Order: sequence, then C-alpha cells, then structure tokens
Amino acid sequence: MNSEMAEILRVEQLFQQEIPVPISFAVARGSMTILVTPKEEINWQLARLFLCLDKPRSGKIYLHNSDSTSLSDRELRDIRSKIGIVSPAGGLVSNLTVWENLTLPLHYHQQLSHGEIKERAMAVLDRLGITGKLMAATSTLTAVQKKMIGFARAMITAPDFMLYESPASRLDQKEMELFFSVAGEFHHEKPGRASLFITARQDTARFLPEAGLVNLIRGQGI
Amino acid sequence: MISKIGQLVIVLVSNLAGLCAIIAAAFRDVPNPLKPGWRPVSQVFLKQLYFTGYESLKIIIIISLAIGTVIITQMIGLVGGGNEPLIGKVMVLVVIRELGPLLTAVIVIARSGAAIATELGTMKIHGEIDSIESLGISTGQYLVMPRVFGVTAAVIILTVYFEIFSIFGGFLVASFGWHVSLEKLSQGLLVNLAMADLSVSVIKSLFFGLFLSAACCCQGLDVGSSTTRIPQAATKGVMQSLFLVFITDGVITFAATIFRNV
Repeated sequence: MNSEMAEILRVEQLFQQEIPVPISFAVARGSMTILVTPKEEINWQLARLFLCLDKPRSGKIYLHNSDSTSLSDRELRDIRSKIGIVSPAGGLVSNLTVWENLTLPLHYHQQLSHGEIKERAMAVLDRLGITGKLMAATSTLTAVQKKMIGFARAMITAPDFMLYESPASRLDQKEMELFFSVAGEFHHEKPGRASLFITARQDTARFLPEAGLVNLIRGQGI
Repeated sequence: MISKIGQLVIVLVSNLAGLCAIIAAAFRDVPNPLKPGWRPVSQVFLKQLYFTGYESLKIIIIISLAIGTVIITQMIGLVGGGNEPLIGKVMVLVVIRELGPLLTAVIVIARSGAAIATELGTMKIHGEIDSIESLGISTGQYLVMPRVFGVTAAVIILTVYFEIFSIFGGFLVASFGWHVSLEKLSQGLLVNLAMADLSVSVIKSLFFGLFLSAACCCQGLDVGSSTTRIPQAATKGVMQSLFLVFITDGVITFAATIFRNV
C-alpha cells in the first residue's frame, strides 16, 4: 500500500479566517492527530469542511483520495457514514429520545436485528459509564451527558475515522481523563482506524502522548 | 405595473417549481424496505401520521358535524324538508367535492403545517440538520420525505372522516329537527353520488397534502441563523400552503368540470 492510498483525509492549501497561513496536512490510516487551532470557534468550521458539509473557498480537501468537490451527495453520505463525529454539544436530535439518538446511525446504515443493536449500544454505554435516562428526551440531559451520548453514538458504528471537535470542551479534569482514555483505547481497537482531534487546547497532547501534532498557531504541519 | 406583475408571476412559478422538485425528491427518496434506512424513516412517517392524522381527528369530527349541520339547516330553510334529492345533490357537491378536502387541508395547515415549519426551523438553527447530515443520513430522506407522505396520507384519511361526519351530522339534525326521513336523505345522497365525485375528493386531498407539506418543510429548512426567523418561517409556510391549496382547488375543480363535460 503506498502512502497516498493510506490516507483518509488530506488537506491542501486551505485558507481559513483567523489562521494567517494556508492549512495543509494529512491524516493517514491508523494515525492519531491533534490539530491545534487558535480558537474554539473555528473548530466547527474546520470540522464542517473536513466532513464536506461546506465547500472550501480555496484549497483542496481529499477524503479517501477523492477530491471532495468531485464527489456526489450520495458518495459524500457514504463516506460520512464511515466517520464518527464527536461534537462538543453531542449533536443530538431534539425530537428523538436518548436511545433513538444513540441507535439512529445503526438503524440507518446497518442491517442489524433489534437484539444486536441493543447489545452494541449497551456495550458502548457501559464503557462510557452512562446509565439511566435512555428513554428520556435529550432536553433532560446535562451538557456533559449530551456530549457523552454523542461520543457513544460515534463509537457505535465502529467507524474507520473518528473526528473529535473541541473534545475537551465542557468536561472537567476527571471527565477529560475518561474521555481521552476511551478515545485512545477505541483508536487501537480497529486496525487502520484514524483519529483527528480538532482543539484549541494545547494541553490535549498530554492526554494523547502518541498523537501527532499539527499546530495551526505556530504553523507546524503547514 | 406590467413588469411588477411579471416579476410576481416569475416568483410564483419558481416557488412552485421548487415545491414540485421537493415532492419529486420525496418520491425518489422512498427507501427500499429490504435495506437499512427503512426502519428510522418509517418511524418518522408513523409519528407524522399520528400527529397529523390521529391527533387532529377530534377537531375534524367536531368541525365536520358543525359544518354538516349548517349546510343542511340552510338547505332546508331554502327548499323545505321534502326535497331530499336536491339536498343530497348539494351535500355531494358542497361537502364531498369542495368543503371536505378544502377545510380538512386548512385545519391541517393550521395545526401541523405551522408545527412542521417551526420544528424543522428550530432543528436547522440548533445545528441538528448538519448533525444528521454528518452521520451520513440524507435529510431529504429522513426529515422531508416521511413528513410529506405522512401529512398527505393524513389529509386523505381525515378528508374521508370529515365527509362522513359532515353528512352524518347534517342528516341527524335534519331527522331530529325537521323530521326528514333518513332513508330518503340517504337515497337522495346515493343517487347523486358518483365515483367521479369521490375521485375528485381524493385527488384534491392528495395534491393539498403534497403541496402543503412540501411548502412547510421548505420554509422550515430555509431559515437562516437567527431564531427570529422561526416564527416567520411558520407564517410563510402557512400562507404559502393556504395560497397553494386554494389555487389547486380552483384548478382541479375547473379541470374536473371540463373533463366531465367532454
């Protein structure tokens, strides 16, 4: 396998507001990368670009070696279904219960029985220490609980690529340790799984010592 | 003046084309029942059917009974109690061909149309639409398609209930109030009721349902980033739906009359 084939995401000459130099980096299969940004506010903008929800105004984004602008909506949805996205607020759908939110991608993308779905969901919830409130509306959850349910939802499909947007946001020290330790373990569970952490906190590397660093503040990796 | 009318026509035609595209996409987005995706989409469809169909039933029954009473009271006041065939004909023309589909659509617009636009607008502003897309789920298939078909199915079913209860209510009042024979009234109705009348009613409900749900979904998904746009989207959705329903009613009535005379 050559190096290009091994890349899940490649960003070339992407200009972004508040980042003075163009962004260029690649996320290889099996790699763990921390992308340090100057501000939390631009993390979602970058995540949207990497998920191809927005088109880049300049530069190129390649997903699985395909130029994102050349992919059809259906192809983009297929690629997104193999990405686990963890957003700071969880990204839950408000008119679904916690359980429906958690199992939505499994129901939508995989032909599994109710028993198999329940088994997989309970295993992920156990792992993150989430108990109770599963049939409740998402509005009854705290911000941290929403984030953890979002994390569980991303893990449940066993994706090839995990994208963490502002992973440390809303978490206290103890919760951060649990979060990053599960994220680190989960990364190694599937051969070739890549993880990208988009964060404005430079101390994130402390929790993930094996991760490569792309620092957009200092211009590293550019 | 002419240029303003021209601009208005262009806006109307482009809006209508947009809605037709949404309806066409909804038909295209129907998932394969043997593939994954069917289960969550059918759940959204059933929820919409329950909310628009079942939960509106009470209000539909009350209004239809009242409308039936009003029509029959006015008819008997006008032609007297002994003219059952004419009363039957008017009931077919007014309730089954016109008021049944029209008033049901108006009630659904007021109750569910505004709710759909508000719900989708709120989801858009809170980033839930992006969140659904980021899971690789088509918002057209997961959010729009089941709402369009759920509302349309509900409008068709509610129209049938409206017509049955309207006629039933009217006959009951005529029987108790003016001692008109129920048997004669039923005969008068059945003699004048043709398959074409029922077809017109179903066709109208079908188009009303499709247009009103597509308009409300479109307005809901079209909100920008400000929460102040949500009530505006609801109002726009309701007004656009009402406009389309009345225009469609006129077009179908006209076409049905021409078709009948050919």
